[in-house]
Amino acid sequence: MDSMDVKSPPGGEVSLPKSSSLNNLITVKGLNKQFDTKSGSVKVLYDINFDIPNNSFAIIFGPSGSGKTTLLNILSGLEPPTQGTIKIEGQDFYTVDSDQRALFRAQSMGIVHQVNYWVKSLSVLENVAMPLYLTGVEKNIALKMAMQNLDLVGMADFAHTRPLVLSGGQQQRVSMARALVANPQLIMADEPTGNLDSKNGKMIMDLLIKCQKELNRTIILVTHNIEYLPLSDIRLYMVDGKLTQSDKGQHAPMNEIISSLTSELAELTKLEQRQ
Amino acid sequence: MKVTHSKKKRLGSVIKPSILASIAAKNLLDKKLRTLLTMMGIVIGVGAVVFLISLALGLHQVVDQQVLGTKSVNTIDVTSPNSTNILLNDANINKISQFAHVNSVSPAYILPGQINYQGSVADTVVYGTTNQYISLSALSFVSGSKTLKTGSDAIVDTAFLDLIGQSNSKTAIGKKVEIKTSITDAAGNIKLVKTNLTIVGVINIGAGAEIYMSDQPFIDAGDPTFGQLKVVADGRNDVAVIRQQIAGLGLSTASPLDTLGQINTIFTIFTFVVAGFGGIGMVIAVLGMFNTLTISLLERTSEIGLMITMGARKADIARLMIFEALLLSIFGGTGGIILAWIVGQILNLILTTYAHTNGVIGTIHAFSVTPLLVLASICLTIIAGLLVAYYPSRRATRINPIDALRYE
Repeated sequence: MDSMDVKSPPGGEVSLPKSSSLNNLITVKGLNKQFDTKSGSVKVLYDINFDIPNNSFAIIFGPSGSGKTTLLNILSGLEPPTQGTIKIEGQDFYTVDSDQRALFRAQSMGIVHQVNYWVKSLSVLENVAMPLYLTGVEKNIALKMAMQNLDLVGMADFAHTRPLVLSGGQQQRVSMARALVANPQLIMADEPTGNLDSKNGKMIMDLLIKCQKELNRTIILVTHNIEYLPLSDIRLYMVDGKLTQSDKGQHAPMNEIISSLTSELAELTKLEQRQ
Repeated sequence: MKVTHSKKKRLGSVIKPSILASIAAKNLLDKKLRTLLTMMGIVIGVGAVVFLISLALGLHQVVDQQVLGTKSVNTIDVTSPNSTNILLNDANINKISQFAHVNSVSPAYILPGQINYQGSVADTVVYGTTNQYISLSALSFVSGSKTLKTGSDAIVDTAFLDLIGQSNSKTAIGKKVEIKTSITDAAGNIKLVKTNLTIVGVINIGAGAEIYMSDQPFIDAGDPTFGQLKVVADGRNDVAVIRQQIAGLGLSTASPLDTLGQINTIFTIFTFVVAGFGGIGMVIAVLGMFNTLTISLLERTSEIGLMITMGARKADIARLMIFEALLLSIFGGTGGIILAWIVGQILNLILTTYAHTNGVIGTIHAFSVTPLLVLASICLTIIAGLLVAYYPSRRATRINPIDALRYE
């Protein structure tokens, strides 16, 4: 097994190759998640194990309802796991309280959602500056940094407008600027191109790649889009709450995964045509 | 990039208060009409409380002025309940002068007398006394001198002038009158004291004829007993103790503080009653503010969820809600105080103008917005704001960000 090989027992730990330059940023062990509802318990994640090294581009993919977003919520410290540990640089993320996780998010995580959320009373510029405000940065400095990031995504001209008047693509670019403004080590994006046309989608993906390659950030991308898989260093394939496969592109299961996703896409297309 | 592990340490808000206040203000301004209506409710509520309390305070002051006039509250009037056995004489004056915190003792003879003016005779009350006693008596001077400069000077009241047919207080100055009184000397002998006096000042007491003259003729005649003493204490707080000591000598005392105490009791009750009426408006305003904040929270559930995902702590979210409540209450409260002050000043002006047309001199302050009232009102509105913010801020801190983002 060369350095790019992956051992991936179904539902078990994904052993990622450790290069001398890559330390694990995130280590997930024995992760289970179950939601208790009035009608009973629903288990959504089963014994998830994986590592994500520093400065890598990880993609979590799989069909709808497979638990990708729940996993991302747990990784971002918003949803405590029912069982298991998430270690960030060797430290257990859920042994600290929610305020400390919040501070960590503000300082070290940038999150991009599929749907754009805004503080509606604030301008684009102030929305982008919000993560800096939350880390205690002075207003004038925060606004200056926010403007630089808006410039980076080509949205500086819209700094003083309200975000809701922008198009979906423009909003997603602003959302990217907001995720990047605090210069976080880790960027998590939950289907950021899901609602975008190909041009805007490409721009967002180019930004994410730039963040990883040029700024040495770690990216975790949740997506349905199999076109993005070749961009990643690590691929985590989820089906029915289980992490079934992970690879670096050499493994045969990838063909099965692509085949599975293609079938799903075909089914959805048929369903749409019927409607 | 390290997660801080500290189970005991609680993180407060990191975001700058000025930034939080700015966000809170923008949130409020985003719903201008709702914010304006809520703030108007607070303006009216606080304004009603301040207006009614200022009325109570103003009336209190007016009544105090009318009742006390220029009397010093440090003054104690001393009389003898039994002029036969307990005498207001030099011995007792000396004892009283020795009491702690007694500033001065001014005696006065108070005797029945007769006026003889150009052959006509009438009865009067004669005060044989000193200028100090006269100044402590807070007399209302109409014309002429306020002091007795020589032993033959006299200050009379308007009723006295009526008796001698001098209705004009200015032309009465310089008129000469003869006063006859009788005293009993230390040996028990009754003596007639006849004095020729010149009117130098006129006062308006609103009672019967009275004349204030020097006590020297009565001292010279050997009268050992005074009719009244005015004892001045060093301070208002010394009055009660000195009165107890004087009562220990068997003498009776009276103080303007007695009247003041009764007035205070009545006006304290009155103030609470009117504040209660105003408080109804305040309660409605507070409920309006509570409603606005709660609706605002519901409308912004996803925004709060977003802020939490971006790293807002519970304290940040709670403080944002508290800032919004405080902005509403402080601006509304200040507006209410200003409104109450303006309306009070207009009414004071109207009352004063009306009083002037009826011959009353001076300014009427029926509405008095004191610094203490302003301070108390601001404190009240801040407390109301904090109380109102409690529930929405507590609820906001319990928002699950994932559910909140699905909320929209």
